[in-house]
Amino acid sequence: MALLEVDKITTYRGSQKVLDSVSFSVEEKKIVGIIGPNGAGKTTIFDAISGFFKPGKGRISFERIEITHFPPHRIAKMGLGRTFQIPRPFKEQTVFENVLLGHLMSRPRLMDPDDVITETNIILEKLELSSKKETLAGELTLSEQRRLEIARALATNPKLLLLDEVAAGLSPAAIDRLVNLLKQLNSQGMTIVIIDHFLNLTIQLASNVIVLDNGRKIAEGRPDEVLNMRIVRDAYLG
Amino acid sequence: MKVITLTLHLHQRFFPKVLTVTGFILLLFLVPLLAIQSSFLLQVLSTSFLYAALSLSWNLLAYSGHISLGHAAFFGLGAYGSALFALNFDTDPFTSIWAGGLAGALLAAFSGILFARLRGAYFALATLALVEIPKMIADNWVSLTRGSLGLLNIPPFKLPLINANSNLTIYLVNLSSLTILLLVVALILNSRWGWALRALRQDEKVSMTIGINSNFYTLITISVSGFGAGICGAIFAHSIGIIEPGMVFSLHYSALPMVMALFGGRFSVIGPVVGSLVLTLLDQFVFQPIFPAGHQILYGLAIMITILFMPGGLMGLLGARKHGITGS
Repeated sequence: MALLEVDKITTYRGSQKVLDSVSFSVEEKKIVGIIGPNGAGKTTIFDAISGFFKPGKGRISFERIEITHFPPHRIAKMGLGRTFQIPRPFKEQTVFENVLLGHLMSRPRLMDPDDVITETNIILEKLELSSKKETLAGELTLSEQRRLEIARALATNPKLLLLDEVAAGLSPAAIDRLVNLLKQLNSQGMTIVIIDHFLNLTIQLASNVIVLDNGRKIAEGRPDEVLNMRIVRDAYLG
Repeated sequence: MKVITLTLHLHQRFFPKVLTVTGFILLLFLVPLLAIQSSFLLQVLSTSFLYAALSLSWNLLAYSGHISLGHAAFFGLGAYGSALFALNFDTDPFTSIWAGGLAGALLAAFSGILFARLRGAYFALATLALVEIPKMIADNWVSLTRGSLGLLNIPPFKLPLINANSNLTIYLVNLSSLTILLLVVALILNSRWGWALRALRQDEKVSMTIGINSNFYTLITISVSGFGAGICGAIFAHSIGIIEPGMVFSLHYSALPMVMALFGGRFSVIGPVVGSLVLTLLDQFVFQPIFPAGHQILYGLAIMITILFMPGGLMGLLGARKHGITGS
C-alpha cells in the first residue's frame, strides 16, 4: 500500500512554475531518494507535503487521507516527520529539551513524565547524542546538529520521515554511521524519503529514486538504472 | 500534576526557587503590619504590584515572541469595562473587575485574529495603532462614557475591617491579584503550553513540523495576556476612582510593562515582577527626590542598560538561562 501519494502537483512562486505536474508514491517501509540539480524543486516538494507551501494544482494523500490543504501541525501529528536542509535546532534549549519538545508536542495528551524521559533518552542514545544531552543545541557541530534534527523528528513518532540533505557536509565516517542508522530505522519499519543532491546516501539505501530537473520529474527507477540514464547525466552535468 | 513532575525532572532547583518566591510574597503581606504608618511606602509598593501584574501579562505574550506595544488598549478597556459595569449595574468592584478582564481578553482575542499573520516589528506596530481604536470610542461615545469628561465616582474596593479605599485595601488587593497572576503564569509557562511558546519564539516553522498549532497557541496566549492587562486596568480604575480616555489609553501603559519586563528579565517567570519592583522603588525613592521634573528618565536609562549590557535582564545576571525553564 502506498503510504504517501503525490498526484500531479503543480506549484507557483509568482508566475513561475516551481513544480510542474510531479507525481510519485512511496510504499510503506521503503526508502525513496529524490535527487536532482540545484533549484530542481526538491525542497519545495517537502514543503508541499508537510503543509507549508500549498500546491496550486494536484493532491497529496498520506495513509489514503488527502492532506493537500491540512495545516502543518496537523500533518505532523498524523505521523509525518521532517528535517531541514540547514539544521534548525531550538538553539537556546539543550539537546535533551529539543528532543523532548518533539515528543511533548506531537502527542494528543501529556504522557507519563517518566515514559517521556525514558523515550527521549532512548532516541538520544540511538543518535549518539547522549553525551551532549545538557549542551545547548546552538553549540553543537554540524554533524551533531544534523543528528539532532533527525532525533527531534523521530521523537514525534513518525510513520514517514522526510530527510532533507542530511548527509551534506559530513565526513565519510559520519556518512557511514548515518547509513547504518537509517538502515536500522528502516528495518524497524520506518518509511523514509531522502533528498540527496550529492548522492551520498541514495545509492546505498534507496530502493527507488526520483529525479527532478527544473520542476519536472525526468526519471524514476532503481538507483543503478536511473544514474546510467543519459537524461539524468545531462541534467547533473548541465 | 504530570506537568509538575516533568518540571521537577528538568529543573533541579525548582523547589528552592518556589520557596524563595513564596517566602518573599508572604513577607510583602506582612509589610503593612510593620509600616502601616508610612502610607507613602504602601502607595509606592501598591503601584509596583500593579505594574508587576501588568508586566507579567505583557511578558506572557512576549514569551511567544510577539512584542506588543499596545497593552494600553487592553488596560484601558479593562478600566472602562469594569468602571461602566460597576456604575451601570451597581455591582461590587470585586465582581466588575471580571467584566474588565473579559473586555481586555475579547479585544486581545480580536487583535490576535486580526494580526494573525503579522510577526516582529509589523505585529508591534499594529498593536501600537490598536490603542487608538478603543481610545477614539471612549472619547466619542459620550452618552456611555461621558467622553473626555471621564467617569467619576467609580466605586472603591471595600474589605471587611478596613476603611474603604484606604491605602491598605489597595495594597492588599494589588498584592493578591499579583500573587494569583504569578501563579497562573508560572503554571502556564511550566506546562505544555509554555513549552510550545518557547519553541514558537525560536523557530515557528520547525515548531509546526513537530505538531505545534501556532495560531491556536498565539490566540490563547494573547487572550490571557489581554485578560491580565484588563484586570490591571480595572483595579487601577477602582483604586483611583476617576478615569478618562487619555489617562488609561496612554502610551505609558504600553511602554511601562515592556521596560519593566525587559529590565527584570523576560526569559524568566519572575523577571517582570523583579523589574517592576526595582524600577518603581528606584523611581519613587531615588530619582523622584533628586529630579522631580525628569524622574522618568530612569525608564529610558533602564531600557538602554538592559539592551546594551544585560540582554537577559536582572534575572539573566543572576544566572537564569536565556531560553530555559528559568524562574519558578
